[in-house]
Amino acid sequence: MHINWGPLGSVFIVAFVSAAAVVVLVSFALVALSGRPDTGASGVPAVRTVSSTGKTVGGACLAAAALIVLYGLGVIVKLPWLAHH
Amino acid sequence: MSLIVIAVILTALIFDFTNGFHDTANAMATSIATEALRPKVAVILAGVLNFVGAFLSVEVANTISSGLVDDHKITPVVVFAGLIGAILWNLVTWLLGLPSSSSHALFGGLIGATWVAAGAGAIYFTTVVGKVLIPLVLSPIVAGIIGFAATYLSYKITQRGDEGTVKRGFRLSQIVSASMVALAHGTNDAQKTMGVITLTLVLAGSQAAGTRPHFWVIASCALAIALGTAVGGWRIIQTMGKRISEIESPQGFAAETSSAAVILASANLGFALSTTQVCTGSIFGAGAARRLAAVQWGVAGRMGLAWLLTLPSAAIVGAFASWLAATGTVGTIVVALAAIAIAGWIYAASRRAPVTAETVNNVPDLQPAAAAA
Repeated sequence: MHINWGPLGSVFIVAFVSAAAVVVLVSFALVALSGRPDTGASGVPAVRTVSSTGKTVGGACLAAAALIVLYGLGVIVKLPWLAHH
Repeated sequence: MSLIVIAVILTALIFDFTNGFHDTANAMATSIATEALRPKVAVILAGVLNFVGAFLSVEVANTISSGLVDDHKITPVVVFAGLIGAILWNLVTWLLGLPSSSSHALFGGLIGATWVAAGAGAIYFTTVVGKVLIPLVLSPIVAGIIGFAATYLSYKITQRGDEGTVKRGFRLSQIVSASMVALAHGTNDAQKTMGVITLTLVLAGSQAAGTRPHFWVIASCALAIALGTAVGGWRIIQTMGKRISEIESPQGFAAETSSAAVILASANLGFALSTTQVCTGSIFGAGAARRLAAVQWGVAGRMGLAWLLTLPSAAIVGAFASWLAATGTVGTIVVALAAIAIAGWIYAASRRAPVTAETVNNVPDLQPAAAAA
């Protein structure tokens, strides 16, 4: 009995890379959007503010994650009802 | 179109409906558990996305309709018997709150019914092993590894972030990742019923072998699985969201993202894997990544047993139904009536201790496995 292991391996690699990439990008985005705590005159940390760099990095990470998801969907979508029988 | 073909199509759509409510948990259990989504909103969203997902691909349907059994050796009655086996196993496991595989149940039912009606020679074991059994065994392990790694990375990276921002961000992200799983579920699971109906139409001579499902088949399967999903299988949602591990939003997001990636990558290559096993594997991986002892391994044992029993149990019911239905029209009617009676009894049993949208998260705090041991 011949088992084609190639496609099974492909599923693992593609799923691992894409899932890890999306999770890592979203995690970095959340860290970037967390900002840094402002330190008041008393030296006690006050509210956290998000710098424009943080917003840019966070937005870029989220956009990259969204692109990966959309690319994956684009590969999957075959619109079968439009195909010829 | 003969009466038996219409009966098989209706039975297939009933299976699709049970597949939907049995598997609502796959997409939404963790989002409901972390309160990223309200229970009723979650199941309706899952239903809509399952409907959309069903239209995206037919690769799995082609595997089912033309690769599992020799369509020259079986009849629509055999498919009917196989579906009865699958439906009854789905209902029994739903009653017990066990997230078993609807795919296993379907394949088991079909294999058992075919074996009795036409012998082992009518089953394409190479396809069954290569495209169904091996992915079914490997998929929860693969999903667990990916879920573990993704969860570990998410906690490691966000430990420097603001707790409130991170928690809120992951909750919002969970809505997207849960939606992706629901879409992937529609794509993967609705196709199995499309494949069964297409196989029946081929057997009845209404469609040429090796052709794609008709549009009305795709649309009706999409509607059936969407309605089933929107009903919400609260018992299984409770098990997956609350009884495996106490899930936090980063874990939920990582688990759902891993599940969606595995299911969509597999569906694209025509592997008919179990979305239930993938999602359960991801949740176990995500739970273990935070703390190994936080996972309820006793629950895992019960699920593992149900997984092992699913294919043979559905096969035995399918085989018995096939044997009875082969005696003629009366036998087929007896099978249908017996299935309706058993389904009614299961529903009545479920009403004695109902789990609803309001009570789905009411589970006593989990004790760490290490402490319980």
